[in-house]
Amino acid sequence: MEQVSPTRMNLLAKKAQIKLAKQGVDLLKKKRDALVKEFFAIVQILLEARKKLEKTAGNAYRSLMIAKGIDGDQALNSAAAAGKRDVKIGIDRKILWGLEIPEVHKEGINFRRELLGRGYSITGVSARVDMAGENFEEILNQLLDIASVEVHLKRLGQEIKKTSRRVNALEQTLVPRLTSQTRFIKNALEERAREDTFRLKHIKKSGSK
Amino acid sequence: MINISYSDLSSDPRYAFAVGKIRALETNLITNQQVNRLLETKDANALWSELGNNRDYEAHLAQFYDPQDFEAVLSSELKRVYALTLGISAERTALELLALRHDFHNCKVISKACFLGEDTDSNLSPLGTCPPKEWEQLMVAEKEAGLCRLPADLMQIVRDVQQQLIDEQNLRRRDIIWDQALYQYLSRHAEKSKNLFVQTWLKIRIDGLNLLTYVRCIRQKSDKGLLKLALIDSGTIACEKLQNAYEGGLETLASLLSPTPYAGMIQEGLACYKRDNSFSCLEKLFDDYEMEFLSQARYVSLGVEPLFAYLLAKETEIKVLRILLVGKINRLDKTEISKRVRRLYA
Repeated sequence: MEQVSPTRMNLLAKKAQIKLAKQGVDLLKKKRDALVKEFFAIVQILLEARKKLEKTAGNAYRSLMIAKGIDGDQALNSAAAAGKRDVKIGIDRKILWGLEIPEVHKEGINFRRELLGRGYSITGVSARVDMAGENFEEILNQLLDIASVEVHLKRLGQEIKKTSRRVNALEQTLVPRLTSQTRFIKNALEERAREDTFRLKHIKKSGSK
Repeated sequence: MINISYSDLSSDPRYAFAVGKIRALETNLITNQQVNRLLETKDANALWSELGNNRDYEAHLAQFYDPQDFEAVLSSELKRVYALTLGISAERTALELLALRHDFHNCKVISKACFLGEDTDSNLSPLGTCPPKEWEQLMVAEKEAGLCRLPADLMQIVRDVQQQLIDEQNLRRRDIIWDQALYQYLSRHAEKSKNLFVQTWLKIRIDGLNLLTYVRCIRQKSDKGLLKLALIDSGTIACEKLQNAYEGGLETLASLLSPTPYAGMIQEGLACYKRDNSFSCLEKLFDDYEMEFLSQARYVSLGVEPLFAYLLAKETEIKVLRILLVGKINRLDKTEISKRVRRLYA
Protein backbone atom coordinates (compact mmCIF):
# COMPACT_ATOMS: atom_id res chain seq x y z
CA MET A 1 0.00 0.00 0.00
CA GLU A 2 1.14 3.53 -0.83
CA GLN A 3 2.65 5.24 2.18
CA VAL A 4 0.54 8.13 3.43
CA SER A 5 1.35 10.31 6.38
CA PRO A 6 -1.39 9.91 8.96
CA THR A 7 -2.41 13.51 9.39
CA ARG A 8 -5.83 15.04 9.83
CA MET A 9 -5.21 17.07 6.67
CA ASN A 10 -4.62 13.90 4.65
CA LEU A 11 -7.69 12.30 6.16
CA LEU A 12 -9.85 15.17 4.97
CA ALA A 13 -8.19 15.11 1.54
CA LYS A 14 -8.74 11.36 1.17
CA LYS A 15 -12.36 11.67 2.27
CA ALA A 16 -12.87 14.37 -0.38
CA GLN A 17 -11.21 12.11 -2.97
CA ILE A 18 -13.52 9.22 -2.08
CA LYS A 19 -16.54 11.48 -2.42
CA LEU A 20 -15.30 12.69 -5.81
CA ALA A 21 -14.55 9.15 -7.00
CA LYS A 22 -18.04 7.97 -5.99
CA GLN A 23 -19.59 10.89 -7.84
CA GLY A 24 -17.45 9.95 -10.87
CA VAL A 25 -18.61 6.35 -10.67
CA ASP A 26 -22.23 7.48 -10.58
CA LEU A 27 -21.74 9.76 -13.58
CA LEU A 28 -19.88 7.12 -15.57
CA LYS A 29 -22.55 4.55 -14.80
CA LYS A 30 -25.20 6.94 -16.04
CA LYS A 31 -23.15 7.55 -19.21
CA ARG A 32 -22.72 3.82 -19.72
CA ASP A 33 -26.44 3.19 -19.31
CA ALA A 34 -27.24 5.91 -21.84
CA LEU A 35 -24.67 4.52 -24.29
CA VAL A 36 -26.01 0.97 -23.89
CA LYS A 37 -29.54 2.24 -24.51
CA GLU A 38 -28.35 4.02 -27.66
CA PHE A 39 -26.38 0.91 -28.69
CA PHE A 40 -29.40 -1.37 -28.50
CA ALA A 41 -31.58 1.14 -30.32
CA ILE A 42 -29.10 1.22 -33.23
CA VAL A 43 -28.18 -2.44 -33.25
CA GLN A 44 -31.70 -3.40 -34.33
CA ILE A 45 -31.62 -0.91 -37.23
CA LEU A 46 -28.19 -2.18 -38.24
CA LEU A 47 -29.18 -5.83 -38.10
CA GLU A 48 -32.16 -5.20 -40.36
CA ALA A 49 -30.08 -3.11 -42.78
CA ARG A 50 -27.38 -5.79 -42.85
CA LYS A 51 -29.92 -8.48 -43.58
CA LYS A 52 -31.24 -6.38 -46.46
CA LEU A 53 -27.70 -5.73 -47.70
CA GLU A 54 -26.82 -9.42 -47.58
CA LYS A 55 -29.90 -10.22 -49.65
CA THR A 56 -29.08 -7.52 -52.20
CA ALA A 57 -25.44 -8.61 -52.32
CA GLY A 58 -26.53 -12.20 -52.90
CA ASN A 59 -28.78 -11.14 -55.78
CA ALA A 60 -26.07 -8.91 -57.22
CA TYR A 61 -23.47 -11.64 -57.07
CA ARG A 62 -25.86 -14.11 -58.67
CA SER A 63 -26.77 -11.68 -61.45
CA LEU A 64 -23.07 -10.97 -62.06
CA MET A 65 -22.33 -14.67 -62.32
CA ILE A 66 -25.21 -15.15 -64.75
CA ALA A 67 -24.01 -12.24 -66.89
CA LYS A 68 -20.50 -13.67 -66.78
CA GLY A 69 -21.80 -17.10 -67.70
CA ILE A 70 -23.84 -15.99 -70.69
CA ASP A 71 -21.96 -12.99 -72.03
CA GLY A 72 -18.44 -13.96 -71.07
CA ASP A 73 -15.61 -11.97 -69.51
CA GLN A 74 -14.75 -9.92 -72.58
CA ALA A 75 -18.20 -8.41 -73.05
CA LEU A 76 -18.64 -7.89 -69.32
CA ASN A 77 -15.27 -6.18 -68.80
CA SER A 78 -15.82 -4.00 -71.82
CA ALA A 79 -19.22 -2.86 -70.50
CA ALA A 80 -17.78 -2.35 -67.01
CA ALA A 81 -14.98 -0.13 -68.34
CA ALA A 82 -17.58 2.23 -69.77
CA GLY A 83 -19.51 2.37 -66.51
CA LYS A 84 -16.70 3.79 -64.35
CA ARG A 85 -17.39 7.10 -62.64
CA ASP A 86 -16.38 9.25 -59.69
CA VAL A 87 -18.95 9.67 -56.98
CA LYS A 88 -18.90 12.52 -54.48
CA ILE A 89 -20.36 12.08 -51.02
CA GLY A 90 -20.32 14.39 -48.00
CA ILE A 91 -19.12 13.33 -44.56
CA ASP A 92 -20.08 15.35 -41.47
CA ARG A 93 -19.02 14.81 -37.87
CA LYS A 94 -21.56 14.56 -35.06
CA ILE A 95 -20.62 14.72 -31.37
CA LEU A 96 -22.61 12.40 -29.11
CA TRP A 97 -21.62 11.85 -25.44
CA GLY A 98 -18.20 13.16 -26.37
CA LEU A 99 -17.95 10.70 -29.25
CA GLU A 100 -17.07 11.85 -32.75
CA ILE A 101 -19.32 10.02 -35.19
CA PRO A 102 -19.06 10.45 -38.97
CA GLU A 103 -22.30 10.86 -40.89
CA VAL A 104 -22.44 10.13 -44.61
CA HIS A 105 -24.59 12.50 -46.63
CA LYS A 106 -25.75 11.33 -50.01
CA GLU A 107 -28.81 13.50 -50.35
CA GLY A 108 -29.66 13.99 -53.97
CA ILE A 109 -27.30 11.22 -55.06
CA ASN A 110 -28.86 8.04 -56.29
CA PHE A 111 -26.26 5.55 -57.32
CA ARG A 112 -28.81 3.65 -59.34
CA ARG A 113 -28.33 4.84 -62.89
CA GLU A 114 -30.67 4.76 -65.79
CA LEU A 115 -30.05 2.65 -68.85
CA LEU A 116 -28.49 5.69 -70.49
CA GLY A 117 -26.18 6.42 -67.61
CA ARG A 118 -23.90 3.42 -67.73
CA GLY A 119 -21.97 4.51 -70.78
CA TYR A 120 -22.66 1.54 -73.02
CA SER A 121 -24.96 1.01 -75.95
CA ILE A 122 -28.02 -1.05 -75.11
CA THR A 123 -27.80 -2.95 -78.36
CA GLY A 124 -24.29 -4.18 -77.71
CA VAL A 125 -24.80 -5.13 -74.09
CA SER A 126 -27.37 -7.61 -72.84
CA ALA A 127 -30.09 -7.00 -70.26
CA ARG A 128 -28.25 -9.35 -67.91
CA VAL A 129 -25.45 -6.80 -67.63
CA ASP A 130 -28.06 -4.09 -66.88
CA MET A 131 -29.42 -6.32 -64.15
CA ALA A 132 -25.98 -6.88 -62.60
CA GLY A 133 -25.26 -3.14 -62.83
CA GLU A 134 -28.57 -2.24 -61.21
CA ASN A 135 -28.04 -4.68 -58.36
CA PHE A 136 -24.51 -3.47 -57.63
CA GLU A 137 -25.64 0.16 -57.69
CA GLU A 138 -28.31 -0.76 -55.15
CA ILE A 139 -25.57 -2.31 -52.97
CA LEU A 140 -23.71 1.01 -53.09
CA ASN A 141 -26.83 2.86 -51.98
CA GLN A 142 -27.35 0.50 -49.06
CA LEU A 143 -23.65 0.38 -48.14
CA LEU A 144 -23.49 4.13 -47.68
CA ASP A 145 -26.65 4.07 -45.59
CA ILE A 146 -25.18 1.36 -43.42
CA ALA A 147 -21.64 2.79 -43.21
CA SER A 148 -22.33 5.63 -40.75
CA VAL A 149 -24.63 3.45 -38.62
CA GLU A 150 -21.95 0.78 -38.43
CA VAL A 151 -19.23 3.27 -37.49
CA HIS A 152 -21.63 4.80 -34.94
CA LEU A 153 -22.22 1.39 -33.41
CA LYS A 154 -18.52 0.53 -33.39
CA ARG A 155 -17.63 3.80 -31.65
CA LEU A 156 -20.46 3.29 -29.16
CA GLY A 157 -19.18 -0.21 -28.43
CA GLN A 158 -15.65 1.07 -27.87
CA GLU A 159 -16.92 3.86 -25.62
CA ILE A 160 -19.06 1.46 -23.57
CA LYS A 161 -16.02 -0.75 -23.09
CA LYS A 162 -13.88 2.25 -22.09
CA THR A 163 -16.51 3.57 -19.67
CA SER A 164 -16.97 0.15 -18.07
CA ARG A 165 -13.20 -0.11 -17.63
CA ARG A 166 -13.17 3.31 -15.94
CA VAL A 167 -16.09 2.42 -13.65
CA ASN A 168 -14.35 -0.80 -12.70
CA ALA A 169 -11.07 0.99 -12.08
CA LEU A 170 -12.78 3.49 -9.81
CA GLU A 171 -14.97 0.96 -8.01
CA GLN A 172 -12.52 -1.91 -7.70
CA THR A 173 -9.19 -0.11 -7.29
CA LEU A 174 -9.29 3.58 -6.48
CA VAL A 175 -12.18 3.70 -4.00
CA PRO A 176 -11.00 0.61 -1.99
CA ARG A 177 -7.46 2.03 -1.90
CA LEU A 178 -8.64 5.42 -0.70
CA THR A 179 -10.93 3.77 1.83
CA SER A 180 -8.10 1.65 3.21
CA GLN A 181 -5.83 4.70 3.33
CA THR A 182 -8.56 6.62 5.20
CA ARG A 183 -8.94 3.71 7.57
CA PHE A 184 -5.17 3.61 8.11
CA ILE A 185 -5.04 7.36 8.84
CA LYS A 186 -8.08 7.15 11.09
CA ASN A 187 -6.52 4.23 13.02
CA ALA A 188 -3.21 6.02 13.28
CA LEU A 189 -4.89 9.20 14.51
CA GLU A 190 -7.01 7.28 17.03
CA GLU A 191 -3.94 5.41 18.21
CA ARG A 192 -2.14 8.71 18.58
CA ALA A 193 -5.09 10.14 20.54
CA ARG A 194 -5.12 7.09 22.84
CA GLU A 195 -1.35 7.40 23.39
CA ASP A 196 -1.79 11.09 24.26
CA THR A 197 -4.54 10.30 26.73
CA PHE A 198 -2.43 7.55 28.28
CA ARG A 199 0.61 9.83 28.41
CA LEU A 200 -1.42 12.63 30.09
CA LYS A 201 -2.88 10.18 32.63
CA HIS A 202 0.64 8.83 33.32
CA ILE A 203 2.06 12.37 33.83
CA LYS A 204 -0.91 13.28 36.04
CA LYS A 205 -0.38 10.15 38.14
CA SER A 206 3.39 10.71 38.55
CA GLY A 207 2.76 14.44 39.44
CA SER A 208 0.34 13.59 42.26
CA LYS A 209 2.93 11.19 43.80
CA MET B 1 -41.19 -19.59 -87.49
CA ILE B 2 -39.40 -18.04 -90.46
CA ASN B 3 -38.93 -20.85 -92.94
CA ILE B 4 -36.83 -20.83 -96.06
CA SER B 5 -38.17 -22.86 -98.93
CA TYR B 6 -36.03 -25.75 -100.10
CA SER B 7 -35.52 -24.11 -103.50
CA ASP B 8 -33.97 -21.04 -101.83
CA LEU B 9 -31.35 -23.10 -100.00
CA SER B 10 -27.95 -23.49 -101.68
CA SER B 11 -26.85 -26.37 -103.77
CA ASP B 12 -23.19 -25.82 -104.47
CA PRO B 13 -21.13 -28.92 -105.27
CA ARG B 14 -17.95 -27.20 -104.00
CA TYR B 15 -19.27 -27.85 -100.47
CA ALA B 16 -19.49 -31.63 -100.83
CA PHE B 17 -16.41 -32.29 -98.68
CA ALA B 18 -17.07 -29.47 -96.21
CA VAL B 19 -20.67 -30.51 -95.53
CA GLY B 20 -19.61 -34.15 -95.16
CA LYS B 21 -17.00 -33.16 -92.60
CA ILE B 22 -19.41 -30.92 -90.71
CA ARG B 23 -22.03 -33.69 -90.62
CA ALA B 24 -19.42 -35.94 -89.03
CA LEU B 25 -18.42 -33.21 -86.55
CA GLU B 26 -22.02 -32.49 -85.65
CA THR B 27 -22.15 -35.86 -83.91
CA ASN B 28 -19.70 -34.46 -81.35
CA LEU B 29 -21.90 -31.50 -80.52
CA ILE B 30 -23.31 -31.59 -77.02
CA THR B 31 -26.97 -32.58 -76.97
CA ASN B 32 -29.77 -31.33 -74.72
CA GLN B 33 -29.72 -34.69 -72.90
CA GLN B 34 -25.98 -34.36 -72.26
CA VAL B 35 -26.58 -30.88 -70.88
CA ASN B 36 -29.08 -32.34 -68.43
CA ARG B 37 -26.46 -34.87 -67.38
CA LEU B 38 -23.87 -32.11 -66.93
CA LEU B 39 -26.39 -30.14 -64.91
CA GLU B 40 -26.86 -33.11 -62.58
CA THR B 41 -23.13 -33.36 -61.74
CA LYS B 42 -22.39 -32.59 -58.13
CA ASP B 43 -19.77 -29.88 -58.65
CA ALA B 44 -17.55 -28.10 -61.16
CA ASN B 45 -14.83 -30.79 -60.98
CA ALA B 46 -17.33 -33.53 -61.79
CA LEU B 47 -18.67 -31.47 -64.68
CA TRP B 48 -15.12 -30.90 -65.89
CA SER B 49 -14.33 -34.60 -65.98
CA GLU B 50 -17.67 -35.37 -67.64
CA LEU B 51 -16.85 -32.78 -70.28
CA GLY B 52 -13.54 -34.56 -70.88
CA ASN B 53 -15.53 -37.42 -72.41
CA ASN B 54 -16.53 -35.22 -75.33
CA ARG B 55 -14.19 -35.62 -78.29
CA ASP B 56 -14.14 -31.91 -79.08
CA TYR B 57 -12.99 -30.91 -75.61
CA GLU B 58 -10.77 -33.81 -74.53
CA ALA B 59 -7.62 -32.34 -76.15
CA HIS B 60 -8.12 -28.97 -74.44
CA LEU B 61 -8.95 -30.54 -71.11
CA ALA B 62 -5.73 -32.54 -71.22
CA GLN B 63 -3.88 -29.23 -70.82
CA PHE B 64 -6.11 -27.71 -68.15
CA TYR B 65 -7.00 -29.69 -65.05
CA ASP B 66 -8.72 -26.93 -63.14
CA PRO B 67 -12.34 -25.97 -63.99
CA GLN B 68 -11.37 -22.37 -63.16
CA ASP B 69 -9.49 -22.34 -66.48
CA PHE B 70 -12.73 -22.81 -68.40
CA GLU B 71 -12.40 -19.51 -70.27
CA ALA B 72 -9.12 -20.64 -71.84
CA VAL B 73 -10.63 -23.99 -72.85
CA LEU B 74 -13.84 -22.56 -74.30
CA SER B 75 -11.99 -19.79 -76.12
CA SER B 76 -9.47 -22.18 -77.68
CA GLU B 77 -12.26 -24.53 -78.76
CA LEU B 78 -14.14 -21.67 -80.43
CA LYS B 79 -10.92 -20.52 -82.07
CA ARG B 80 -10.36 -24.03 -83.40
CA VAL B 81 -13.90 -24.23 -84.81
CA TYR B 82 -13.62 -20.83 -86.49
CA ALA B 83 -10.31 -21.81 -88.10
CA LEU B 84 -11.71 -25.18 -89.18
CA THR B 85 -14.94 -23.91 -90.76
CA LEU B 86 -13.24 -20.98 -92.48
CA GLY B 87 -10.55 -23.38 -93.69
CA ILE B 88 -12.89 -25.89 -95.34
CA SER B 89 -15.42 -23.42 -96.72
CA ALA B 90 -15.27 -22.89 -100.48
CA GLU B 91 -16.49 -19.32 -100.03
CA ARG B 92 -15.57 -17.34 -96.91
CA THR B 93 -18.01 -14.40 -97.17
CA ALA B 94 -20.88 -16.01 -95.26
CA LEU B 95 -18.71 -17.32 -92.42
CA GLU B 96 -16.72 -14.11 -92.21
CA LEU B 97 -19.97 -12.42 -91.26
CA LEU B 98 -19.73 -14.15 -87.88
CA ALA B 99 -16.06 -13.32 -87.43
CA LEU B 100 -16.68 -9.68 -88.28
CA ARG B 101 -18.72 -9.29 -85.08
CA HIS B 102 -15.51 -9.97 -83.16
CA ASP B 103 -13.59 -7.48 -85.31
CA PHE B 104 -16.08 -4.79 -84.42
CA HIS B 105 -15.95 -5.83 -80.77
CA ASN B 106 -12.17 -5.34 -80.87
CA CYS B 107 -12.53 -1.96 -82.58
CA LYS B 108 -15.02 -0.89 -79.92
CA VAL B 109 -12.75 -2.06 -77.09
CA ILE B 110 -9.66 -0.35 -78.55
CA SER B 111 -11.57 2.85 -79.19
CA LYS B 112 -13.02 2.81 -75.66
CA ALA B 113 -9.64 2.07 -74.10
CA CYS B 114 -7.99 4.92 -76.03
CA PHE B 115 -10.77 7.26 -74.92
CA LEU B 116 -10.48 6.21 -71.26
CA GLY B 117 -6.70 5.77 -71.33
CA GLU B 118 -6.86 2.15 -70.22
CA ASP B 119 -5.37 -1.19 -71.15
CA THR B 120 -7.22 -3.28 -73.73
CA ASP B 121 -5.52 -6.65 -73.95
CA SER B 122 -7.73 -8.76 -71.69
CA ASN B 123 -10.95 -7.71 -73.45
CA LEU B 124 -9.91 -8.35 -77.04
CA SER B 125 -11.27 -11.28 -78.96
CA PRO B 126 -8.96 -13.48 -81.05
CA LEU B 127 -11.86 -14.67 -83.23
CA GLY B 128 -12.05 -11.80 -85.70
CA THR B 129 -10.92 -11.86 -89.32
CA CYS B 130 -7.82 -9.93 -88.25
CA PRO B 131 -5.63 -10.25 -85.15
CA PRO B 132 -6.38 -7.58 -82.51
CA LYS B 133 -2.83 -6.23 -82.86
CA GLU B 134 -3.53 -5.24 -86.44
CA TRP B 135 -6.62 -3.37 -85.34
CA GLU B 136 -4.54 -1.58 -82.73
CA GLN B 137 -2.01 -0.64 -85.41
CA LEU B 138 -4.78 0.70 -87.61
CA MET B 139 -6.66 2.55 -84.92
CA VAL B 140 -3.98 3.71 -82.52
CA ALA B 141 -0.82 3.97 -84.59
CA GLU B 142 -2.91 4.93 -87.66
CA LYS B 143 -0.84 2.66 -89.86
CA GLU B 144 -2.30 1.15 -92.97
CA ALA B 145 0.78 -0.30 -94.58
CA GLY B 146 1.13 -4.02 -94.00
CA LEU B 147 -2.52 -4.42 -93.03
CA CYS B 148 -3.41 -5.90 -96.39
CA ARG B 149 -5.56 -8.58 -94.84
CA LEU B 150 -8.21 -6.03 -93.94
CA PRO B 151 -10.76 -5.52 -96.70
CA ALA B 152 -10.82 -1.95 -98.05
CA ASP B 153 -14.52 -1.39 -97.26
CA LEU B 154 -14.01 -2.54 -93.67
CA MET B 155 -11.02 -0.22 -93.23
CA GLN B 156 -13.11 2.56 -94.67
CA ILE B 157 -16.01 2.00 -92.29
CA VAL B 158 -13.62 1.96 -89.30
CA ARG B 159 -12.03 5.21 -90.52
CA ASP B 160 -15.50 6.75 -90.95
CA VAL B 161 -16.54 5.77 -87.45
CA GLN B 162 -13.28 7.15 -86.02
CA GLN B 163 -13.97 10.40 -87.81
CA GLN B 164 -17.46 10.56 -86.28
CA LEU B 165 -16.04 9.85 -82.83
CA ILE B 166 -13.56 12.74 -82.84
CA ASP B 167 -16.03 15.17 -81.26
CA GLU B 168 -18.13 12.61 -79.41
CA GLN B 169 -17.37 12.63 -75.69
CA ASN B 170 -20.35 10.53 -74.61
CA LEU B 171 -19.30 6.90 -74.15
CA ARG B 172 -22.78 5.56 -74.74
CA ARG B 173 -23.14 7.42 -78.01
CA ARG B 174 -19.70 6.21 -79.07
CA ASP B 175 -20.81 2.63 -78.40
CA ILE B 176 -24.05 3.16 -80.32
CA ILE B 177 -22.11 4.51 -83.32
CA TRP B 178 -19.98 1.35 -83.33
CA ASP B 179 -23.02 -0.92 -83.06
CA GLN B 180 -24.83 0.86 -85.85
CA ALA B 181 -21.71 0.61 -88.02
CA LEU B 182 -21.40 -3.10 -87.22
CA TYR B 183 -24.93 -3.99 -88.28
CA GLN B 184 -24.77 -1.71 -91.32
CA TYR B 185 -21.60 -3.49 -92.40
CA LEU B 186 -22.96 -6.94 -91.58
CA SER B 187 -26.10 -6.26 -93.65
CA ARG B 188 -23.96 -5.21 -96.60
CA HIS B 189 -21.75 -8.24 -96.11
CA ALA B 190 -24.77 -10.56 -95.92
CA GLU B 191 -26.03 -9.09 -99.22
CA LYS B 192 -22.61 -9.80 -100.67
CA SER B 193 -22.84 -13.44 -99.64
CA LYS B 194 -25.99 -13.79 -101.80
CA ASN B 195 -27.22 -16.42 -99.38
CA LEU B 196 -30.82 -16.10 -98.24
CA PHE B 197 -30.24 -18.28 -95.17
CA VAL B 198 -27.45 -16.02 -93.92
CA GLN B 199 -29.40 -12.86 -94.73
CA THR B 200 -32.48 -14.15 -92.91
CA TRP B 201 -30.42 -15.17 -89.88
CA LEU B 202 -29.03 -11.64 -89.66
CA LYS B 203 -32.52 -10.16 -89.93
CA ILE B 204 -33.72 -12.45 -87.13
CA ARG B 205 -30.76 -11.39 -84.98
CA ILE B 206 -31.48 -7.71 -85.63
CA ASP B 207 -35.19 -8.20 -84.88
CA GLY B 208 -34.31 -9.92 -81.62
CA LEU B 209 -31.99 -7.08 -80.61
CA ASN B 210 -34.56 -4.44 -81.56
CA LEU B 211 -37.37 -6.14 -79.65
CA LEU B 212 -35.22 -6.52 -76.55
CA THR B 213 -34.14 -2.90 -76.84
CA TYR B 214 -37.81 -1.92 -77.02
CA VAL B 215 -38.68 -3.86 -73.85
CA ARG B 216 -35.59 -2.58 -72.01
CA CYS B 217 -36.45 1.01 -72.90
CA ILE B 218 -40.02 0.48 -71.63
CA ARG B 219 -38.72 -0.97 -68.37
CA GLN B 220 -36.40 1.99 -67.86
CA LYS B 221 -39.13 4.43 -68.92
CA SER B 222 -36.66 5.93 -71.39
CA ASP B 223 -37.86 8.47 -73.90
CA LYS B 224 -38.58 7.69 -77.53
CA GLY B 225 -35.33 9.41 -78.53
CA LEU B 226 -33.19 6.69 -77.00
CA LEU B 227 -35.21 3.97 -78.71
CA LYS B 228 -34.82 5.76 -82.03
CA LEU B 229 -31.08 6.02 -81.50
CA ALA B 230 -30.61 2.40 -80.47
CA LEU B 231 -32.83 0.60 -83.00
CA ILE B 232 -31.00 -1.05 -85.86
CA ASP B 233 -32.28 -0.81 -89.41
CA SER B 234 -32.52 -3.75 -91.79
CA GLY B 235 -34.48 -6.19 -89.62
CA THR B 236 -37.81 -7.57 -90.80
CA ILE B 237 -39.74 -5.27 -88.43
CA ALA B 238 -39.43 -1.64 -89.52
CA CYS B 239 -37.90 0.64 -86.89
CA GLU B 240 -40.60 3.27 -87.53
CA LYS B 241 -43.31 0.75 -86.58
CA LEU B 242 -41.56 0.05 -83.27
CA GLN B 243 -41.11 3.77 -82.59
CA ASN B 244 -44.78 4.44 -83.29
CA ALA B 245 -45.84 1.58 -81.03
CA TYR B 246 -43.56 2.73 -78.17
CA GLU B 247 -46.11 4.98 -76.47
CA GLY B 248 -48.53 2.04 -76.21
CA GLY B 249 -46.09 -0.07 -74.20
CA LEU B 250 -45.86 -3.84 -74.19
CA GLU B 251 -49.48 -4.52 -75.20
CA THR B 252 -49.00 -2.57 -78.45
CA LEU B 253 -45.81 -4.51 -79.11
CA ALA B 254 -47.68 -7.80 -78.80
CA SER B 255 -50.42 -6.65 -81.21
CA LEU B 256 -47.81 -5.18 -83.59
CA LEU B 257 -46.07 -8.54 -83.78
CA SER B 258 -49.20 -10.68 -83.95
CA PRO B 259 -49.12 -11.03 -87.77
CA THR B 260 -45.35 -11.82 -87.75
CA PRO B 261 -43.62 -15.15 -87.13
CA TYR B 262 -42.54 -13.82 -83.73
CA ALA B 263 -46.14 -13.66 -82.38
CA GLY B 264 -46.06 -16.84 -80.26
CA MET B 265 -42.59 -16.23 -78.92
CA ILE B 266 -43.22 -12.61 -77.96
CA GLN B 267 -46.47 -13.49 -76.21
CA GLU B 268 -44.76 -16.16 -74.15
CA GLY B 269 -41.76 -13.90 -73.53
CA LEU B 270 -43.83 -10.94 -72.39
CA ALA B 271 -45.92 -13.15 -70.12
CA CYS B 272 -42.66 -14.43 -68.56
CA TYR B 273 -41.32 -10.88 -68.27
CA LYS B 274 -44.46 -9.64 -66.52
CA ARG B 275 -44.42 -12.62 -64.16
CA ASP B 276 -40.70 -12.59 -63.21
CA ASN B 277 -39.84 -8.97 -64.02
CA SER B 278 -36.72 -10.35 -65.68
CA PHE B 279 -35.44 -10.45 -69.24
CA SER B 280 -33.79 -13.85 -68.95
CA CYS B 281 -36.79 -15.78 -70.29
CA LEU B 282 -37.29 -13.35 -73.19
CA GLU B 283 -33.61 -13.52 -74.14
CA LYS B 284 -33.64 -17.30 -73.93
CA LEU B 285 -36.72 -17.48 -76.16
CA PHE B 286 -35.00 -15.31 -78.78
CA ASP B 287 -31.89 -17.48 -78.68
CA ASP B 288 -34.02 -20.64 -78.96
CA TYR B 289 -35.94 -19.12 -81.86
CA GLU B 290 -32.67 -18.41 -83.64
CA MET B 291 -31.52 -21.98 -83.03
CA GLU B 292 -34.78 -23.34 -84.40
CA PHE B 293 -34.22 -21.30 -87.54
CA LEU B 294 -30.65 -22.57 -87.84
CA SER B 295 -31.81 -26.17 -87.61
CA GLN B 296 -33.15 -25.80 -91.18
CA ALA B 297 -29.53 -26.06 -92.29
CA ARG B 298 -29.83 -29.82 -91.66
CA TYR B 299 -31.77 -30.12 -94.92
CA VAL B 300 -28.92 -28.63 -96.97
CA SER B 301 -26.52 -31.17 -98.34
CA LEU B 302 -24.42 -28.89 -100.56
CA GLY B 303 -23.97 -25.34 -99.36
CA VAL B 304 -22.50 -23.01 -96.77
CA GLU B 305 -25.58 -23.23 -94.51
CA PRO B 306 -24.46 -26.31 -92.51
CA LEU B 307 -21.08 -24.66 -91.83
CA PHE B 308 -22.73 -21.42 -90.81
CA ALA B 309 -25.21 -23.23 -88.56
CA TYR B 310 -22.45 -25.42 -87.09
CA LEU B 311 -20.39 -22.37 -86.15
CA LEU B 312 -23.36 -20.71 -84.46
CA ALA B 313 -24.33 -24.01 -82.83
CA LYS B 314 -20.84 -24.22 -81.40
CA GLU B 315 -21.11 -20.65 -80.09
CA THR B 316 -24.37 -21.55 -78.35
CA GLU B 317 -22.87 -24.75 -77.00
CA ILE B 318 -19.96 -22.78 -75.53
CA LYS B 319 -22.37 -20.25 -74.06
CA VAL B 320 -24.29 -23.11 -72.40
CA LEU B 321 -21.09 -24.70 -71.08
CA ARG B 322 -19.99 -21.35 -69.70
CA ILE B 323 -23.34 -20.94 -67.89
CA LEU B 324 -23.02 -24.44 -66.45
CA LEU B 325 -19.40 -23.98 -65.37
CA VAL B 326 -19.89 -20.53 -63.87
CA GLY B 327 -23.00 -21.81 -62.11
CA LYS B 328 -21.25 -24.87 -60.71
CA ILE B 329 -18.10 -22.99 -59.68
CA ASN B 330 -20.18 -20.39 -57.85
CA ARG B 331 -22.58 -23.01 -56.47
CA LEU B 332 -25.65 -21.43 -58.03
CA ASP B 333 -28.91 -23.28 -57.61
CA LYS B 334 -29.57 -25.97 -60.23
CA THR B 335 -32.94 -24.50 -61.22
CA GLU B 336 -31.33 -21.07 -61.51
CA ILE B 337 -28.82 -22.52 -64.01
CA SER B 338 -31.29 -24.65 -65.95
CA LYS B 339 -33.62 -21.67 -66.50
CA ARG B 340 -30.85 -20.03 -68.51
CA VAL B 341 -29.65 -23.00 -70.52
CA ARG B 342 -30.31 -22.43 -74.21
CA ARG B 343 -31.72 -24.89 -76.70
CA LEU B 344 -28.91 -26.68 -78.54
CA TYR B 345 -28.52 -27.56 -82.19
CA ALA B 346 -27.79 -31.24 -81.68
